[in-house]
Order: sequence, then structure tokens, then C-alpha cells
Amino acid sequence: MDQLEHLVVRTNFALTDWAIVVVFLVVSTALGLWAQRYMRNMVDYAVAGRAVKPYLGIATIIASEMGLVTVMYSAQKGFTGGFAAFHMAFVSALACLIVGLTGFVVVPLRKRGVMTIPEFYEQRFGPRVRLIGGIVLAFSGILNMGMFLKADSLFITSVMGMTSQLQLKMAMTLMLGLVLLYTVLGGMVSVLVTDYMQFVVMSIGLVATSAFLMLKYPWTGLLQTVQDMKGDAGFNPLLPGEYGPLYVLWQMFLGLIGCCIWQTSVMRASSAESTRVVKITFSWGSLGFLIRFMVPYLWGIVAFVYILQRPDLKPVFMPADGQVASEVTLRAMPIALSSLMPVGAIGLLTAGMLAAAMSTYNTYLHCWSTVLTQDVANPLFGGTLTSRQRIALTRVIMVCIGGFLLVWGLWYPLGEQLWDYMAVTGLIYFAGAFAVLTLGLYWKGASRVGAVAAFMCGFLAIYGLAPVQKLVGFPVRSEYVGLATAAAALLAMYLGSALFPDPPTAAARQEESP
Amino acid sequence: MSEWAWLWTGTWFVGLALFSALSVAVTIWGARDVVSLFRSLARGRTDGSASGTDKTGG
Repeated sequence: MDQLEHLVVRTNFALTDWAIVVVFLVVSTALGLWAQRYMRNMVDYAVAGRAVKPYLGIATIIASEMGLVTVMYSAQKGFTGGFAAFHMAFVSALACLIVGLTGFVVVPLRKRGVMTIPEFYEQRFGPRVRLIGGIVLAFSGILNMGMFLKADSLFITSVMGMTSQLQLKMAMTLMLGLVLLYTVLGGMVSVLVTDYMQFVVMSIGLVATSAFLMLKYPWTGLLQTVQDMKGDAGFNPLLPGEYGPLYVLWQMFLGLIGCCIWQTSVMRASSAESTRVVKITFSWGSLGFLIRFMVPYLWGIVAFVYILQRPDLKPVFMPADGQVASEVTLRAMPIALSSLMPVGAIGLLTAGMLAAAMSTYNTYLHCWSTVLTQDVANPLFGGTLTSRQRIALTRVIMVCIGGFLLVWGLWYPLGEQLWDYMAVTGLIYFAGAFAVLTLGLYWKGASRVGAVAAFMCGFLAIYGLAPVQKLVGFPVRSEYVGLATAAAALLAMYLGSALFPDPPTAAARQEESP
Repeated sequence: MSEWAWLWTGTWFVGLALFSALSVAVTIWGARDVVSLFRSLARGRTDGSASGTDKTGG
């Protein structure tokens, strides 16, 4: 960060842009608060009465899965990797399309009528597995979300030209407070309605900004510059170096996880009106999965070309020794856009990015607090909590998570390995969940012992953390840790089930269930 | 241009065009779905297809 302190960053962010952002924030919050009048019980609160139709489903899955944090990290990938980064968008969209066409995992889950994944664990394996699964899921998810504010704050700082860190912290605190307000009061109904509005704002921002940038930097010029500077590695992800074949395989697995295992996506399936709507939502939602990565990759490539042409910025972002901090390259895209976009357009873009951030915050806040209530607290109380008590508890947990996010993501000085940290925290959950969900849904022999063993394997992911590797003194690339952990969880699920099958009564009960 | 450059060029333009069209459709028809959601919630619909199996009493 010291490298940037002496730079004079030119920004076009003006009073008009402030007005656009403030109007967006006021309308978005008012809409969320207004929608809460339609919420009457826990099913309305958690999955909007399971009455969501296709177009609204598509809008919300795209809005909630495209956070500002995704834009930031993706732009960084485009900046450092060039067009080769596009492979991640490609395989992610392909995985989502396959899930939409086949209904893999999401359709059986919707048929069972579960609101959360751990609810499935209980149906399939009993209450103890649900409790363990719920704890692992919430632990991993909340830690993962803890990084969002950090990345988002870097965007806001760079675009608005804010110099004081205190100003930034106050702005982000205000934004989180507004999201908490309508999410706590309105639950899933408010999330869906605000997600719709945020989808509209975000889509306009993404498409308009991309069109503007392509007018400013013609496509063939971008291709030529990347070829000149990065060679074939700027296009071919299979070449060794930044990516490679195993990295591509790892991204394919992440793409599958992102759309059918990650709880926030699965909640879209739970909220859908029917299994037909689930398939439509995921099939068309694949376009959103493509765009959410591809658009910021291009913005990152544009930032790369822009900075290449700026003698004052080039030594900071592309030093001769190649040693550049992650937080510096994260700022490349917003700094480039803030001086390339005209007044008004930069306000629209910022509103669109705030929409992306808020729709992700509200979905994740709602998601993890619902999981903790439904899958941890309620089972601990023997399933005796009433609908009203569960809603109240969900709200309290939501506020607590919001407090954690502020302290951890914004006020607490985190290290620079943010992406590694996020990948590892996510892997703790989804390595086990992938094994338990897929084998639990499609293999009758899956047992409780196998499920618990798979969950425990998820903690192997901690080895992906750079400080742990440094401690052990044996560095391993993230894709190796990720694929090995997922394979270990699948093996543990299989061996645990084969060696310790469920008692016949439980198996018989399972056969009777739909 | 290499085959990889062609692939990413095609992916970019087709993806952006489809997303633009989808955004327009979702914006228009999504508004109708929002109204429909409110109507459904206001009626307190409890038919079999929508109720699911909330075993915990929701």
C-alpha cells in the first residue's frame, strides 16, 4: 500500500455521481423495508414461501452470485493473466449449464423440499449429521464472507478518490447497516425484491461500462497488446506458469461447486416454484456465471493496457523486478476505470457495483443466519422452537454476523493473501459437502459415518493457507490442495459408508422416503 | 490470431450479446414475477407443490 500513497490518482467521480449513488442506496433500502410486510412465517422468511418464478429466480441468482468481491478478484486475474483467465468463466458457465440441463443435485434437493443443505443431511442421515454439517457450513461460510468488505473497500476507495481510511470505514459501515436493516426485517422476500432491483442496476452498469471500454480500446488492440506483453501464456491456460491443466480442472470443480453445492445457490433452488423452474433458473443462470467472471476479466485487461501507457503508474503496477503486492494489482481496475469513465457513467458504475455488493451481502447474511437457526440452534433445542422464535433468532444471528464482518473484514488488519484465505475457507465446507450431497443423493449405501468422515476431511484444506505451508516448510499449489482434499472427502465418504453402514432400520426408513 | 484468441473472442461477444438480451427479458418479465410473488404471499398460498416438507414446523 505504501507504493500507492505517493501517487496522485485522477478520478472523474463528481457530484452527479454522488447523487446517483445516494439515490440508489435510498431506493434500494426503502424497497427492502417495504417488502417485509409480505413476510408472515419461517417459510416466507427463509425461502419466500417457495413461490419464486423463473425470471425472478434468474435475476436473483445472478445478482447474488456476482458480488463486488468477485469483480475485484476477477479483474485482478485479467490484469495478471490476460485472456487466459477467460477459461475460468468458460468452465464455470459450462458447469452451471450442465447442472441446469440435468438437474444434478439441485432438482433432488428441491423435490425433498429442504430449505438448507443441512436439512437434507437430517432427512438422509439423521439429526447429528445435520448439526455437524450445519456448523461446518456456517463456520466456513462466515469466515469466507469475512473478506468481502476488505476487497469492496479497495474498489470504493479507488473510484471515489477518498483519501481518508476513516471516511471509507464509515461508508462501508453505513452500507452494511442498510443491508442489515432490510434483511433482518424482511428475510428472503426483501432479499428477492432488492436483488431484482440490484440486478437491473448491475446489468446496465456491466454492459454499458464494457461497451464504453471497447469503444475506447478496440478489441484487436487489446489482443495485440496482450500477445506482445505476455505471449501465448496470455491466451492459453494449459501452458505451465500461472495456470496449467490441473488448475483448469480445479476451476471446473469450483464451477460445479459454485452452482450446485454452495448454499446461497442452493437456496435459489429451494425458493423455486417447481423443479422445472429450478432447471430454467440454472440453465439461463449459466450466462450470469459466464458474465460475472468474464466482464471483470476484460476490465482488468483494459486496466493492464491503460497502466502500460501511463509512465507514472507503470513502475508501481508493473515494476521491473515483477514484485508487486496483491493489494496494488487489486486497485488497478478501479483506478483505471475512475479516470477512463466520464462523469455520470462512473456514478452509474459505482451504483452497479454497490448493487453487486449489497445483493451479495444480503443473500449471504440471510443464508448463514438461516443455517445457524435451522440447522444448529433448532436441533439443539430438540426442534421445539416456534416459527416466531426462529425468525427472532435468525435476526439476532444476522446482526451478530454483521458485527463480525465489520470487525474482521474492515477494522481488523488482514494480511495480503486474501484470495488464498477465501479459497481455503470455502474448501473447508464444500469438500465434505460435495461428497455427502452427491453420494447421499445418488447412492443408497451412503451412511452417517461416511458423512462425518467426509466433513472432517474438509479441514485438510487448512493446509492451503500460506502461513501453515510456511510453518511446515513444504509449499503446495492451491489446485493440488483443493483437488486432493475433495478426493480425500469422496474416498472417506465411500470407505466410511462401506465399512460402517447405517443400521437396517435407518436404511429401511430411507427406502420409504421419496 | 491463435485458436485460443478466437475462442475467447467468440466467447466474449456471444456471451455479452446473450447476457444483454437476457437482462432485457429478465428486467421486463422479472417485474411481473415480483408482482406475482407478492400476490402469492398475500394469499398465503399453501398448496402441495409449494409447501415442501419443512419438518421443523415452519
